[in-house]
Amino acid sequence: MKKVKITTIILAIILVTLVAFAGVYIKTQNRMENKVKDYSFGRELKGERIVELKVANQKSESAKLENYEIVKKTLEKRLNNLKTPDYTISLNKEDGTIIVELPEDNNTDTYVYYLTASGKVQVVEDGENGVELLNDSMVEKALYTYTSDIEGAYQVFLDVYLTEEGKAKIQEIKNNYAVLSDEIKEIEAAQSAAEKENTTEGENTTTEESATKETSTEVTKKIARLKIGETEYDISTIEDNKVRVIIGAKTANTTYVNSYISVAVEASMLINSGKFPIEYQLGENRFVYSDITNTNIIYFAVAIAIILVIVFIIFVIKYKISGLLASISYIGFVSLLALILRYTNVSISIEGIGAIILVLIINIRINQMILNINKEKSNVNEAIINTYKELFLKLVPIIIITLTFCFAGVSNLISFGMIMFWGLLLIAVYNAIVTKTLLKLRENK
Amino acid sequence: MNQKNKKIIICAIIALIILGGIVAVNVLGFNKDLAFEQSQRIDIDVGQQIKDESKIKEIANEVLGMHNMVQTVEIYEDMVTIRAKVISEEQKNTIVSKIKEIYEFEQTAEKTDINTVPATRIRDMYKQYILPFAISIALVSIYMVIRYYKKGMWKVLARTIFVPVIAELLLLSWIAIVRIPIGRFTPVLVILMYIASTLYVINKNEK
Repeated sequence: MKKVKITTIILAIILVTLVAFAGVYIKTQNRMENKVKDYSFGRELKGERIVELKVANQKSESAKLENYEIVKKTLEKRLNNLKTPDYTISLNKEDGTIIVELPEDNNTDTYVYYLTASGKVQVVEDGENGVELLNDSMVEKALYTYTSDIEGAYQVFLDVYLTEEGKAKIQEIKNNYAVLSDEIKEIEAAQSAAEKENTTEGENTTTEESATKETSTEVTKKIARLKIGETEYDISTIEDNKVRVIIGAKTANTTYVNSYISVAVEASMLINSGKFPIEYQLGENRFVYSDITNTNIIYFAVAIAIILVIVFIIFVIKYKISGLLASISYIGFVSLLALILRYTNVSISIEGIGAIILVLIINIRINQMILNINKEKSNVNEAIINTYKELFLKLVPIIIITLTFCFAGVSNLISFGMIMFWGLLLIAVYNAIVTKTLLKLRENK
Repeated sequence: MNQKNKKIIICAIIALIILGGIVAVNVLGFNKDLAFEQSQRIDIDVGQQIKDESKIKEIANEVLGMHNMVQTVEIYEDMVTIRAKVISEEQKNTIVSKIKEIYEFEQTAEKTDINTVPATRIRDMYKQYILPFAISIALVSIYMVIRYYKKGMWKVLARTIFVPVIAELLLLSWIAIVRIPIGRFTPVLVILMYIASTLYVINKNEK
């Protein structure tokens, strides 16, 4: 009966190993498809998006190192605000070219968009070649907010805070131009009414009347509008150094409210992340595969497998049948770990490979300790309990490091942390169930 | 040789390596991996899927020496980018003509530009690692002080902080002295050294 149980466990391990390393192939649409999930690889192993940003005009006066550095910092702030994982940024100090390397995922295109999106705030005179009255350098920061009324309608705003210079400038603009939404509406209404009147009176208009109208137009203020990027926005109020910009219409529809909030969040993020003292344009934007190829990874895996085989041979020589059973159990452990890494969506980076090696070493050590104590005392239960007590108590700081890295916010460290987490958990559970059972069955023989 | 003398010799060797590392960093700086140092690259549009990248790698090794990177580009893998510290016009021409022997494509050597890839600063490469490491050292220190308070709080705290720091300095000094390139494999070495030194501290405290 014991032999049957041992054989069953060994067959189960072989099955898991086959599933983990050979896969499960099922015919799908006239071709065989592996139904076992693929590994997810990190940036250095899979490949990355390389985005090149070039200075739009090399002959411009602003084309100098100081400004290139400012743009680089602004881009870093934007990427940090977007919580972009694992990016690197480099600057060619000679021509200002900035190269950003990003991990390739569903958000990569969004990151690329924000690398070049303009957050430039301007107040310009209305018209085709409107004069710039207030520029980006006079803007300090921006915060979004919203108000609601008793009917449940929301109005989203972006509060743009100006510097001292900007504060003086906006007051000057306010005196000379119509900038507030209400003022502009009044003027536009008056203008359209006048145009209507003009068309109805037509040719009957006397020279005298037209002269009076001209005088009234002169009295009317010119219009100035606020622009963020290329989009014009209405201003609700101007208080001290705060310009309250209206984002979208007042509405109770939550879908619209959310979209307006997104616009406000985006604008505030672009404004707060810094300025572009020099214009940049998108150069190359392409996905580049890693130079660490699958062949390199396979060679590495084969090297690890050879080391494990040597360890198994040592186990068998030193501990005989118990060593053989522990080695078979170890193969099952490696297979299960491989499956767990596939199905928990852990991204395997170079640091993650380090974690896999560490987990394998810890499992060799735990097996060796169990076999040693078992050899001395011929009691599997005691061997397991003593080994767990000794080893896991010592591993508490490593568990702390593992958990800290799991929440690090750096994808390579998360990869290390997650693989260590699943590995340590599997070591604890697997050896207490499979290795223990196999050795116990051998002990009771 | 008694235990005390052994300790003195080990400490002296560690101090010498760290000193050597400081000198190497100040005089030569770290040797950066090609992916992070200023380099030059050429892009060749092969016009068909590159099925055997290793052949192109062989050509790059032959023309540019072993210190180069060959990467396929875009999902169709029909373009290859070859990167090396310096690529001369002659080397570029040779590479293009040799690849033309394997693949048929339109791009000529004259139409192949040599682009400069800027270097990534070491602090830009690793600054995001600092906070998680600092937090983990703080948490591990708290645990160690609580668990081994009988051994003396300050002694345990000092050991928990200084041993990993010295171990990391030793590793980085060694990397600087023997000119191991700093790059993608450095963080994993730093992490493994951190774990090893923490395990050493635990063993010391357990004694």
